[in-house]
Amino acid sequence: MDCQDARLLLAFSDRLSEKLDPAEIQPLQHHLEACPDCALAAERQQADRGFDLAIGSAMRDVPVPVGQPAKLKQQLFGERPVLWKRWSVASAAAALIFALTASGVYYVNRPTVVTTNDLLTWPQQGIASNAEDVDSFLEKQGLNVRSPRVFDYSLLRSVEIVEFQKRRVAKLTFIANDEKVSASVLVLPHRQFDAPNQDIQANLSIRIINEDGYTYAIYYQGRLDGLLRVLN
Amino acid sequence: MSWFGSNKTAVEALVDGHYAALYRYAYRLSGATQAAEDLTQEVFLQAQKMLHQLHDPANAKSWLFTILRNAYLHRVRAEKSARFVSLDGVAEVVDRGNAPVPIVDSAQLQAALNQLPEVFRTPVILYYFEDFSYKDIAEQMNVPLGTVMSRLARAKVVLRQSLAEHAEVTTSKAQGEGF
Repeated sequence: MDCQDARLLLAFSDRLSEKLDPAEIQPLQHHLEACPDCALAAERQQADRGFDLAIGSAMRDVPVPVGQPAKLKQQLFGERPVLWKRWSVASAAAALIFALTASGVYYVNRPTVVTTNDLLTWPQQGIASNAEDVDSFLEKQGLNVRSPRVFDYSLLRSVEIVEFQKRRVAKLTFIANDEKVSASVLVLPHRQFDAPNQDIQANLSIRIINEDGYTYAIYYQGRLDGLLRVLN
Repeated sequence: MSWFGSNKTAVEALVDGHYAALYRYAYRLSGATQAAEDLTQEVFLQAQKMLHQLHDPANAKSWLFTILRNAYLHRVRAEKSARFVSLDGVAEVVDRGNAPVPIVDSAQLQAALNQLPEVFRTPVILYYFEDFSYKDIAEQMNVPLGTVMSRLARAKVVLRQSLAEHAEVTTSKAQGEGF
């Protein structure tokens, strides 16, 4: 064994984790007995042990924060359940909203039960009791107009919004079955239509009435008087 | 799945088995508790992602320590830290091998370690944890075994000198104060 090998083995022998092979120990001892320099190095190394022990002890003297490993585990794994829970809650909420919406849609759109009597009596039922109700209905449709006041609104059968001269206008239909008379009325505001400003009886089925800024064009069949409350 | 049955079980076992050692290593490397906590946390986050790379649980400790050192170096480079001194002159430092062993406390040691460049500090720390062989240290640092031994020897000399100087200053202060 030469000095280089001996110094290397000495270095390794210094470590707890570096166990020397028993086959290496005897040649090293022989070398140390024969080599004063290496023997001195071994002696100094032995003296260094105290220093190493002091440093090693101080090196490991680091207080580890209590609870950090648990906190770390929570960070590593805890978020997943939280995310899973959040996802579950969100999913449940979404499912509930969907179910409620679907139920609501179904409820709103569910078939209405109609009896034979409903169908037979419908022509006799008015859809609005007065002109103000019709005006209110039309206003909700975006049409701010005044319906004619002369008609008997118990005979009103439909209110529509139709296009006339490229404008949206209201069309009211009155029917009196017992008198076999019906009339459709177009409501034409003067602010939108420059219509004839006097009442006209054009023929036996059309009449035009001007009233309070409106022209009412009435297309009727039968005796119109049967539909009116007052018509002078 | 992994060698512990599930990734969660495996990572939990790593935390239970190595948190303390990694924290101490991180503290000695960085010299600050907050940095040590952050580094240790980062190690386990990375370990969780890269668990498939650990094929043998017997290598877990070395693997985690390597991750920690890399994370630390990444931070140091990011911070462009230049607080370390060179050990170019270490060869001329007087080896006080036969000097009395100074009394070393944890804070003094850290102050001395902070003066060492990382390439010297890391082997010293790992050496004194005593769990790592020279071979382990060489592998972790990706340098030849001889380099580890050489750096260790130089670092120990500087460490010894630094601690002895501190002890001398402390002693003279104490004498000046009439103790």
